[in-house]
Amino acid sequence: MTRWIRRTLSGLRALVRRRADDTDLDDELQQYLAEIVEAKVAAGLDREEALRVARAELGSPAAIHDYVQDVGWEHRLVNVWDDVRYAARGLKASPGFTLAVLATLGLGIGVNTAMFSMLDAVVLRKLPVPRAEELFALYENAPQAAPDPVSGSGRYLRFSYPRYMRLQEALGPHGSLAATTGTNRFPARLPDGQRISVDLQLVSGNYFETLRVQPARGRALTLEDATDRAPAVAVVSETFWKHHFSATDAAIGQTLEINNVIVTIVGVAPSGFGGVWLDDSPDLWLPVTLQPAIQHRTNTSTYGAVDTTHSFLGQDRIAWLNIVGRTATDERRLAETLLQTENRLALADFALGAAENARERESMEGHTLALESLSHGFSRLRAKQSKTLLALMGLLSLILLLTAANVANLMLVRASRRRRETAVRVALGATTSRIVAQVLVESLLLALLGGAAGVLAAGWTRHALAKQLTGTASMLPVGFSLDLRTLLFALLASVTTAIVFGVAPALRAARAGSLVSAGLNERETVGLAALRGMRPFVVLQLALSVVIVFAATLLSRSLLNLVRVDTGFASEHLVTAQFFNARALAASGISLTAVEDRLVSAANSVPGVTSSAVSVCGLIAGCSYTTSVRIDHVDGTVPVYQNWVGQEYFATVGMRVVRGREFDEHDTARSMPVVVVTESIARHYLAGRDPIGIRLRGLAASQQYDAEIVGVVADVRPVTLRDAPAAMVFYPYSLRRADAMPTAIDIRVAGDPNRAVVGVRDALTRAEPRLTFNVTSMPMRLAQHIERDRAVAYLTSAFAGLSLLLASVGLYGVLSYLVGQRSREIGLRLALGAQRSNVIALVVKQGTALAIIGLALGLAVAPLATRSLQGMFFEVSPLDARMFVSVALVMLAIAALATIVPARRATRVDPIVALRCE
Amino acid sequence: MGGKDKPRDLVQGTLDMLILKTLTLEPLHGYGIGARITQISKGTFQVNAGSLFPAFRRLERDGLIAAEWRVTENNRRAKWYVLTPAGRARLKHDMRDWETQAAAIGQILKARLADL
Repeated sequence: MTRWIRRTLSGLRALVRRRADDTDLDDELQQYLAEIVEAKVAAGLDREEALRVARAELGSPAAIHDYVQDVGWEHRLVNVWDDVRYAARGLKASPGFTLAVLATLGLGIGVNTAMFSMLDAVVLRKLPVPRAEELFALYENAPQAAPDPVSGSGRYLRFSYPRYMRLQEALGPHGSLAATTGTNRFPARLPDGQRISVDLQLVSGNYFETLRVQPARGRALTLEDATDRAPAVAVVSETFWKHHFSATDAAIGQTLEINNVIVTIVGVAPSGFGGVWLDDSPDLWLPVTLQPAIQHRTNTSTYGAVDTTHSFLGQDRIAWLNIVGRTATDERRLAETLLQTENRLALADFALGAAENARERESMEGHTLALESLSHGFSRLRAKQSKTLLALMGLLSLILLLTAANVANLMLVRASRRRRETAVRVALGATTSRIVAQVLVESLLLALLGGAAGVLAAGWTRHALAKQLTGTASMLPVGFSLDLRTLLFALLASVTTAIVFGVAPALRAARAGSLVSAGLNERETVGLAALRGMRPFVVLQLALSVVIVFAATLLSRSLLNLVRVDTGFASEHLVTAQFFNARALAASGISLTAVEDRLVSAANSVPGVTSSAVSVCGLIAGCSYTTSVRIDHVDGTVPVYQNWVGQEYFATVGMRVVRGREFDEHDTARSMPVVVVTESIARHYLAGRDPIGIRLRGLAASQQYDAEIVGVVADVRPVTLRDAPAAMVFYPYSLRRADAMPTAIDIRVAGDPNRAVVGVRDALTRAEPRLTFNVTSMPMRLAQHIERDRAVAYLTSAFAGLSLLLASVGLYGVLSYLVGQRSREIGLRLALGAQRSNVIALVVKQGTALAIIGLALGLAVAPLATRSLQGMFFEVSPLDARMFVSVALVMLAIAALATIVPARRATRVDPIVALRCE
Repeated sequence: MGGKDKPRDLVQGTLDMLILKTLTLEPLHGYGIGARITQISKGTFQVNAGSLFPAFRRLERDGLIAAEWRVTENNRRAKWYVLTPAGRARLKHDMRDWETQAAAIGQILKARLADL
């Protein structure tokens, strides 16, 4: 061991003292020579003769230098350094080649790095807590449950507080369970009186302890904080602390006013920790016991009759908490059994006592509790987009591979141009391994430079990429940054690329070396062998670009279909305003009906506005209230979307009334309840009957009254453009359910809606300064809505263009190389009277064969390969024959272009020059 | 560069041992070591510079010998090599090894069927 250390140290010392050691050895050799001379002279030779003999005996001092240098390990480093300098000189000597390769590699590695940092933040990275793999989430499998944006369909993620307490008790010492709400926005006041809004989560007292998160400052929340009469306290996020308290310790002990409750800051969460909801991190965490005080009422699921104005803490029928737990890995099974047993007992009790009818009871008893790993946290973005991200990442890796293949071909061509240089080096005694090492070092140098360019490119593009993919910047997870992991990825990508594109040229250089030393004509043998080596690369490139072009075509068609889709309303002259804090107004006792009247008359007074109407859900706003209704003459219940809309709503948004009438000033809270339904209800459930006059009633406790259908409107896409037109029931705004808050006002204008936006915003804000309005034109809203689809389609099209370019350059390269290698043969043929058309045919045949093989291969795998993008398709099919034809035509056109130039060059080969060339 | 066939006048791996042994008698400079080996072996081993210098460097780096510049009997500056305690220990170890191996090889070479 000590010997090993000694060798390392002496090697390092030798590296530093390289020059001094060299002179030292020179002196020593000089002295050695002198001693020999002395000895020879003593033996009777004359001095001149002695010197000659001594020189012969000593041998070449340069060789001795080499042998001595080879003693230590450090000479390898010196060799590599020499290779690097040699490679750098070579690259500098051909700037065109170098720039082309660096640009391609920089682009390839850059987009991959940007994509990886996104993928890492959303999909791969674990929660930044100790032993994240011990964490799990609880959810209830419920076959009839509505799709959940986070956990998929058929699952309930939310539990009531009493249930949480019982489950926690059932788990006992085998782990711990913590509860948290999602993130909700509340009005707040900073210590200096500034009014802001904050995003907060209510969490159980053991939340931080369960996650094992240590506060950066102050203390975490504790179980005592979540008891009845405990003072109101909060832990703030590091970002919030930096932004509002300049990251000073003075923040601890300061107070915030949240929805009229004074809360004292006791701690700051560590940097990078944003709770278990990755893309929805809060500014602060409060104990769950503050729910009634701050009036947290949103994001709940209720069963049966409940009073949401009372504290949630004692109510078993209000589910509002996500449960996350931690157990040692070997106790996970035990924990699961304990929790499931408790859950079965509780559900049986619950169903027996509470459910109103047999069916509901049965469905409730069908629920089962499940544990799922939460090592990566909850993420809506991941739930929605992990497939897209993975698919795009796959696509980009393919492009990187393509780039590498192309660079490999460029390197091969370059190496064939440098064969003379290689031959000289071999003749001078360079070993094969040195030559291979040299080529690999050159590849590595290129790849690392390309990687550096790529990291720069990633730095510039990743935010644009992320924004394109998520639609909003606010959804980005805390962990989204160009960090060490990302840089490591870029390094890995560079080195892998170097290996992929460097090995073939290196092996060829080795062969060239051995052949030259064997005295063979390298041009005839290795040149054509290299060509054979290049062909598979080109076929692979063509096939890959076929797949990418295929994907791009599908996505672009989807985008086109989304742009042209019939929304069911007239968007051209529509302005839409959203507001989200009506609940706070209502809570302070202000009549929302009065607010509605004020907003509508303010909007109508803006010049150019023809009508306006308030609604609970805006159009294509991701807002939905689903429920079931019973309709006269229809068996069972009918699942529907519902919305509450003001007078003249249908005229305002341009929904076509196909039967009956729309709501007017006579539809008040005191008149006979009426509804308007969409055509699909009439079509599916009331076939043959006149829907007008038929009555329906809701199942929700507050909607169990008869309402008469007075109108039918054309089908409309309720929540997003991708939804198929659905069954929908519109209630007059006056019948608004107490928990359904208005969030939108739509305004029809005579002229350009984009120009009306500012006027409308001013008028609305003047009329109701306590609300914040997000005003935009409907065409703009729709454009934003499909922004992600647009981004993916554009990105993929750009990638497709890039890959086509790369593939055609590859094809072009191979054919040019072919023409170059066979110029003597071509010259000979021409000299012997071959027609130019024959020569062209020779090249075209090669090109077409490669193109057709690549095309066939690509088309064979494309439908399968694009299946992972299925979620992004909209009304297109990968098996559409038109797809195959259009992709094939594009590819063949490109291949033809890439073939023509080398083919024409072949005809210009001058027989005389070609024959003299050797 | 060039072919790396180093002179193989000695049984592989014994040169280091011979150098160490030579230095047990007195400190010597490079030429002196080579000459001493030739002299003691009565001309059987001719060690050339191409083998000697890498060996010096190897032994020096492993701390088995140490070097210093001194003035020779001819009043010239020369690099003298001295055996270090570690070198002395190594030599002892190597000689024991060598004797065991040489004896064994001798036995094998002398072996006749009748003795088995």
